[in-house]
Amino acid sequence: MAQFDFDFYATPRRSGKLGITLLVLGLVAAIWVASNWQAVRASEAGIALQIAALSQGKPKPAVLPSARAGTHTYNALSQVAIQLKYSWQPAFEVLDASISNKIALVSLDANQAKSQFKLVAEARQLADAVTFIDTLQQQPGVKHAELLQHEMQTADAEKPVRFNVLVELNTAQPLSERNTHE
Amino acid sequence: MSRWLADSLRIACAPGEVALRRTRGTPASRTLTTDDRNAASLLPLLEEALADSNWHARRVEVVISQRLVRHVLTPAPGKTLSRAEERALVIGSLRNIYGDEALQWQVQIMSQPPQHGLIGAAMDATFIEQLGELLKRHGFQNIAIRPLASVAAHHLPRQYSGWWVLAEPGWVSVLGGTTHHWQHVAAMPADTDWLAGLPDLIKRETEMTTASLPAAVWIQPVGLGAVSAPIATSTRWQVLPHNSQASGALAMLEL
Repeated sequence: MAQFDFDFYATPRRSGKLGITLLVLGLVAAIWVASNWQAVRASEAGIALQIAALSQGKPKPAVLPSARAGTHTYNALSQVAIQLKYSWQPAFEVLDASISNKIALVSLDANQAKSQFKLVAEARQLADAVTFIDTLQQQPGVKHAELLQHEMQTADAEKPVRFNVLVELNTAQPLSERNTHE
Repeated sequence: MSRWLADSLRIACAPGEVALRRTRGTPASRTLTTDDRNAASLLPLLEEALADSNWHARRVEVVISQRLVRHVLTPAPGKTLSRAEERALVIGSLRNIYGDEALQWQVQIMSQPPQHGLIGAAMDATFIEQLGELLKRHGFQNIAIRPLASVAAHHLPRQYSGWWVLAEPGWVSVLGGTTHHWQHVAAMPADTDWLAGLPDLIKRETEMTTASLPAAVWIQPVGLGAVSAPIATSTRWQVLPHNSQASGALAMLEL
């Protein structure tokens, strides 16, 4: 039907109590979703940065110093070559083999010189974290895995256990690669 | 505003007459009259009726006779206009027809697709302002003031194409259009023989409009007693439901 609606005194519509309640609930829900989304993004961004940092360590063609280069320059270049040559693939494999759906990886901090990496992760229960560390310890590439710290995240509704682990990699295989240019 | 809400009042305003109908209480309706024919003379009648707080309600819908409303169909703008441009076009069109008097009117605008003109409705701004203040002063919180045509349009068929005649005592409004837009708007005084002259009126309006509308006419009588369709073979006539017993301003509240 074609409209023919005219109102010369349109009363501004007032929100009823139900409308206001729904509005408040909607706002609370929106804030909660936004805050969760931001936390997830922050977590993902942290992991992505760490992976990107690790990926830069993948083997790349090394630039060899010229015969006339000074000793100092030669050593520096050797260090760069070592870093470029270093493969973090064993670390990835270790994590891949150990991590389960009960563990959420939060961040990684790798130390190539010591063949170590520290990781921050979250588990629903401390027992899950301990199981994860045991599994890490049993991986062939891992020399030592150690729980450094754990803390319950009371601010989070799920109250997960956030824990830090130091993983020392078995250096035998990586060292053979590292010595290639030394 | 739903007229079925329990706590509501409906008021009809026609020249020289005000009718009130409430959803609760007895009597259910009341009519007040005056010899004056202008809109402002209705305000004292309303003031008198609403002095009785039994006629107060939270919501009120005021239905205004088409005799106190002026409509206009502007030329097609051909493009989408801003609200200010639409307003200027409608006021300009009203001024072309009614002169500078139109500058004193409160204007309402109904948009249509750009290939069709805008529909404007205008009423005396001072009357509308004073009516609104009066209703607010008597405690009405939800106020609507509508031309009779806005109320009556809801009784048109869901799908239609042709002419719509809204007939009140002494006044006939003629609108041509389809379910989706209006293409012709006209209104004129009418005498008691209006029904007999309706075929000629529709023929004249058909010749005046550039729109090609089917020869179908829906008639909505208000307060005119029992109305039957004219006999004209080339046009399909249909009289819309109406209360043949109701008369005066109270008949406007039957819609």
